[in-house]
Amino acid sequence: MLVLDRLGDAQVSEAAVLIVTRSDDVHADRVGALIAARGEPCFRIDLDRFPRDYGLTMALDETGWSGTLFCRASGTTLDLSAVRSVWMRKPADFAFAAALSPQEKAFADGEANHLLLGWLNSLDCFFMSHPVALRAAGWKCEQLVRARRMGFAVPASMIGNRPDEVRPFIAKGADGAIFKTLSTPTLAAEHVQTEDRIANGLHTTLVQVDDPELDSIAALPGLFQHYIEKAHEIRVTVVAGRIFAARIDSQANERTRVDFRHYDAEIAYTAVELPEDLATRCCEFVASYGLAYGAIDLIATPDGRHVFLENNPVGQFVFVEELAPPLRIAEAVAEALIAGG
Amino acid sequence: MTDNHRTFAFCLARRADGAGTATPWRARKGPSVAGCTGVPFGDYRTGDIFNPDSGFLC
Repeated sequence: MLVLDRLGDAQVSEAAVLIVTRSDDVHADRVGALIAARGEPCFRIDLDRFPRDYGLTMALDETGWSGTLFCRASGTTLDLSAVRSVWMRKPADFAFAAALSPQEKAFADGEANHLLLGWLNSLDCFFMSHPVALRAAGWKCEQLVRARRMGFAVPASMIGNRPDEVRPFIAKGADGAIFKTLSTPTLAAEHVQTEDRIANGLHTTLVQVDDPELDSIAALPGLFQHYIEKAHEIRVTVVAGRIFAARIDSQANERTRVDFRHYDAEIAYTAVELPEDLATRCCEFVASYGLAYGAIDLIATPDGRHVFLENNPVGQFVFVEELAPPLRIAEAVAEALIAGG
Repeated sequence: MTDNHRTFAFCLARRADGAGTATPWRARKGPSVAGCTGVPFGDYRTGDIFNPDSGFLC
């Protein structure tokens, strides 16, 4: 933790690693513990407790914003002018001390968001990753264009809301096509009250040309991709230019054949080395956005090709290193944050 | 729960729920994962409904 030492009237502090996340983020727990174990200062903002449980004072001076952010729960203080690096992890709804009317809450959310991102954007330090880069990197449509331009194979893809166009596209796929969400697989369940929740999420789903409900695509354009036969899948985690690749034997279980993210299914994860050109391309893809981190999903086909599916700019990694223990991703994240790049 | 879905994504989700092939995101915690029963995963997939790969859209 960062401690402000007093030398006369001057406050001297060691530059800290700042983690911006939510209180249930065990990735942050793990990396924060690794940073602390190395004796390095680390301060965490849990957005689901911000600003309610924090005390903030910041003032503009000739070098930028200076001041302190005090965490009431931990009793620790961050010197705002002494941030070594920032790890942008997970968003959360802000918390306020008072029960606010809907309009006040909307205004307060906007103010807190503006404050936080405005201050973060003013920092001249290492980010994993910078908010501007994260914003640019999150669009699946754009990722596919960029990936193909950079030499990746990508699935034949279409987005549309005309059933008469979608059906011929699906029919052209040798093994049908998949439907996947563009924005979130949770179907926005986290944004509605429990009583209004009608679905908990949707995995990538195989669809056929004669799907009886395909006409409902007319209500909302959706992404379809020709199904790619898989030998296995690969999760490639890039941390500040270092590569951690895990082979996922998703075809060994019927439930994970189309989407490996059924974590209760028993399939093997194995650390693997990528071909050098593929590893380089993955690093270059992540770096092309200015990202310091990316979690790329690839398909390995039976004929030895690798097909790009998507990059997750703030993708999870603990499940990878738990299931493929040689991959020490949390350590790499901690080291990059401590080194400041 | 209503069957009156108007978007294809929700039609597919309802079908998966009905077939028992859906894995609610909130079920994604616990130790029995991919052949590593007993590994103390804790809540790393963050418990209740949550997109595991979501990040900042700021």
